[in-house]
Amino acid sequence: MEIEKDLEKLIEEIGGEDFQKKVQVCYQCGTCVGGCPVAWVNENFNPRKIMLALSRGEIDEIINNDLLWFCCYCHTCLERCPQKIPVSEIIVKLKNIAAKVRGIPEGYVNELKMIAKTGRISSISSATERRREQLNLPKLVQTSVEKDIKRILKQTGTNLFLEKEIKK
Amino acid sequence: MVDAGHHPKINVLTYSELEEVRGFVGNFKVKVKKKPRFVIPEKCNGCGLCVDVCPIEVPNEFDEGTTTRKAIYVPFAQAVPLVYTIDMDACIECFKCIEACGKLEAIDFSQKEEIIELDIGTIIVATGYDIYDPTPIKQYGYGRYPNVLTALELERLLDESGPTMGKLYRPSDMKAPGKVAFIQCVGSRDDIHEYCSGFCCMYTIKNSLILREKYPDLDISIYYMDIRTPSKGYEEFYRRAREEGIKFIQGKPSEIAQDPNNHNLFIYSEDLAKGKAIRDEVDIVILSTAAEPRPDSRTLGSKLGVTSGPSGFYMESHPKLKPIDTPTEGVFIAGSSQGPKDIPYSVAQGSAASSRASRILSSPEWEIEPLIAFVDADKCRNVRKKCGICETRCPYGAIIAPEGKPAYVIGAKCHGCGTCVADCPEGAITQLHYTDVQIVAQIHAILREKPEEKILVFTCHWCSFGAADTAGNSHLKYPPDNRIIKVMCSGRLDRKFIYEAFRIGAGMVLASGCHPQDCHYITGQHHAERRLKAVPKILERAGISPERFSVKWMSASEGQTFSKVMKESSETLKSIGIERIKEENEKAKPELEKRIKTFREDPDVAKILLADEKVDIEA
Amino acid sequence: MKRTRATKEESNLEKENKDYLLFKGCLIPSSLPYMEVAARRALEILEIKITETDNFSCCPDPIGIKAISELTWLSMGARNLCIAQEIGKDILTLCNGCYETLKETSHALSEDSELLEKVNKILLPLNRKYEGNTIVKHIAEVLYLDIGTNQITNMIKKPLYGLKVAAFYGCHLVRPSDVMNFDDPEEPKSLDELIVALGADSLPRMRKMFCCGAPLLGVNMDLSLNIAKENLDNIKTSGVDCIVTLCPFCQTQFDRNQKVVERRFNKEYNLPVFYYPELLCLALGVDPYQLGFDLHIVKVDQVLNKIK
Ligand code: SF4
Ligand code: SF4
Ligand code: SF4
Ligand code: SF4
Repeated sequence: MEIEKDLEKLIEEIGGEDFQKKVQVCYQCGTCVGGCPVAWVNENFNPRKIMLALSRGEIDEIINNDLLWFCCYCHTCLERCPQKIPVSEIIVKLKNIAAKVRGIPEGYVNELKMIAKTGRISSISSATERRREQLNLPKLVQTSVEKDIKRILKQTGTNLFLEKEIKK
Repeated sequence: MVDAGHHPKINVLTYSELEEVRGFVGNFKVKVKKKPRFVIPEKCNGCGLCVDVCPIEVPNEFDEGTTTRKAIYVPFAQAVPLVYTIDMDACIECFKCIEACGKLEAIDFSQKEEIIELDIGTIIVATGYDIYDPTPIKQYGYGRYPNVLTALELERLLDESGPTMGKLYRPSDMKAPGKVAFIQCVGSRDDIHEYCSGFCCMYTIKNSLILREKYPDLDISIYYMDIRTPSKGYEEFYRRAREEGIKFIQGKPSEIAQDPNNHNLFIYSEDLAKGKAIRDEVDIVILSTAAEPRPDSRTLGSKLGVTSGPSGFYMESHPKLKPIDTPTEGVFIAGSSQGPKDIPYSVAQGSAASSRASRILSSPEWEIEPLIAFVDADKCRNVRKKCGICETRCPYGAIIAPEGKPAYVIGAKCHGCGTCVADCPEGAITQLHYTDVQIVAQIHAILREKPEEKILVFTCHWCSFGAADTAGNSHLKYPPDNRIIKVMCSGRLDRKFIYEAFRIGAGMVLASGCHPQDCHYITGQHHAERRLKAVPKILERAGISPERFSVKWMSASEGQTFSKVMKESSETLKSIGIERIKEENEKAKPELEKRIKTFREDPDVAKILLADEKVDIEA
Repeated sequence: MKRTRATKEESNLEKENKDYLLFKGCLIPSSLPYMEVAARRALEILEIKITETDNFSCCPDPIGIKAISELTWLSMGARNLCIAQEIGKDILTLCNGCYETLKETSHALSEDSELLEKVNKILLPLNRKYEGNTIVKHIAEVLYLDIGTNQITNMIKKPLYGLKVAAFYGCHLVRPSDVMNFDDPEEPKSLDELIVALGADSLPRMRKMFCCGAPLLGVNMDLSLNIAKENLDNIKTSGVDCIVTLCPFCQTQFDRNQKVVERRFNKEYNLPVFYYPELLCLALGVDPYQLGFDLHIVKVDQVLNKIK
């Protein structure tokens, strides 16, 4: 029950009422599934069913299912939905909720760590610099970007994903 | 059509356009533009020798462009009248046809377009519909993939006298197909057209059965969201299709891809029954495209005084009680011009329209609704100085203000919107059943008790009252603090009604009516909007918070909007608070009193005002 | 479905504005430097001026970071936009991911003043405030709209006649279309026309706008490779010599992971993968040895020989 309450708060935080309304007009046509690259390669991933669960208020069912993280955010569903439901954007919001309730996939933890440390998602190794030099590219100067980024992560609560041990 | 063409009392004007309609029920004066055919019907014997020699070929509209026709042509073999026409946009004026026609001398390049005038009693509009061109739905590749067809194109291919003599071929290579698929709801029930086109499910099933009969081995699938078969015998037909092995796949395809090497098509969809994404390789895909209003339906409608709804189809006077009538007396609508419908329904509506029309034609006199306006000649200032404001307000030319004489209304032409009434600076015009006395009496009755807790709502008869009705029918909830006064058109809304309401203490006033394009009196809403624009400023200057008055346009289907507006208004009312309202009203009284001066001068209206004031004093 | 897109003519009018602030991104400068080389060379030859700064962070990644927290994503994006605002130049990105993040952030913050306020509150301790007017362009957009295909055709020295190319646009160049507002999301033409401008042929194929699958690399490798395979199959059957991309993620997916897909599914594609500016440089006559082609995983020699 406690989770339920939390959920409601979380949904509200990210403007959830608005997207739940938008989903109510979904008439379960399956257009979003037919064009989805992930559904094409994985029978169990189904954006239509995510929209169905959402419109019925079964949000915990969605966020307790790790399949949610498989959406690769290509926006094909959003472009083609005959009811103009922003499916991909809604899935992002659901991921945001799932992240808070259950944590994030390992790949993203690493990405976040890197961002917190350097402000970038890929490292600048000495090999990189050597290659750049060979190609006559300017050196990649490290500035104090990280300080800014750390602050943003803290302000938006995202640093918590780094501090606490992730459940997944 | 052939019968109509032969009937002694039916005059068929083809290749003609409606130019202008004047007059009123029973006495319409109609101007029709007859376009020149450049062929004299009486002389042409239909031999077609001219066609053989004409060097120009253009896409044949009747065959949906699957074949060509010449610059001199008849649209199709059964056309009425069976007379040739030269398409001047295509003709290069080589005059070979004249030569071929020879002694018959049926071709006449000097023909000019002609305007004919007709006296008409009643008019039935049955201009049909158009088929949506699915090219903008790029993921289906229509126009890019040769083997993607529309249902209408398929109809031509299935016609025994059509371009392929009734044989189905893949347009890309003229090979016989092994597998075809239909896709339903292309451009309907979506963001392109919100409505369901209604007849596509049935014609798709029909076409699938024709194909089954012609090609017993053909693999046929129908991709659909819902199969809609609500009329008599339809569901049985659907069952037959399943018996015949037509595959029904629930799922709206996301895209069609074309193999660039052989033009085979791949449909990507979800199979909802299985709950997974599927891919289907087929030879031909047929798109069941939406029905849409004719592109010129609004222009034609405005000539006839027939309005269109949000979808662009013509609006009936009342969806349940007057489904054939229009806001213009004596003008009726039938068939798909009113909304997509199938053949039985169209025939039924056509018969209904002709009997509605003959009721008028068969009676020597015709009663119209007694909602018309009339002018009090003694009050009209046009006698003293040039005015004629009313004349510029009337959307139907029903009120005339001759120089130096009082204005007068042609009763049969007046539709009773009341726009002239509200805009007459002398209060010289009265609309029957919606007189100032009647409306002011309603305002007073409504606001007799606890006026500051009430929201007075003015609605028009057709749209915003309809919206309130819809809100009720759909059981939408909203707070009970509003009171409605209905007029025929928002054009009747005199600013004085609003001032009077505030003067006697109203909490809030809301004026409403149709969206501009839906106005049942063409321009009534427009005049209301213009007139009401100034009100908030005047109220503010008088000391009334501007948010206590608002204007909202909505259509009859917008029950949701109505209840939402009511909820919001109610919240606004609460947030302002009774005390402040009372204060403001007190402060505004003298200014408002000035603004309703003409009410005091009208003895009948003044009586109501005084009666209430007396009660107040006594209390 | 009515959308207004900048037409070629329109944007030619603002031609003076050819000075951009380069947004290098993360992946290109550190892992795929050959893409940066080609982009820089092409811009130089086409006389597009570039300003640089070291203050940009990751755009950030529109898939991972946005999935974790939309607010973090917006705030980091807004911080980057602030920097461009301070310098006073439009941003030019080399990557579809950066393009989407920055353009969508800019769009969202100009549409929603409440959101802008919220984000600015987060930026306050950083001493930054976004005003909401930074313009973001992708290098393809600059080439297609600012320079134009005619101009490119006029400037090339070594037309790539006979080269058959698969144009791979990538999702975020065009989707979501009402934000990106650059090319048609289902039937785009910019990259095809840019390829044709070099004298090469852009061949049609099935499911041209299918996602490359790269966003799944960090979540589920298996699915990601399956999606890559669907693309590679469709590309192979279309009969092309090579693939052209506009994005380092698509580039990685088809170049580096092509071998992985081949091994896993026991297939052979042998399709060299170019970043469009690489082909552009070749056609403009840049010496291939300067372009770092040895860093490609799928060897490009067959293509270089073909266009010699
Ligand atoms: S495409 Fe849109 S309407 Fe259809 S199932 Fe998906 S979300 Fe629902
Ligand atoms: S955005 Fe996600 S759900 Fe939508 S089509 Fe792409 S992968 Fe599928
Ligand atoms: S004059 Fe016109 S219609 Fe007659 S043959 Fe020539 S092109 Fe045809
Ligand atoms: S403006 Fe309206 S009420 Fe007045 S004469 Fe014309 S139709 Fe009748």
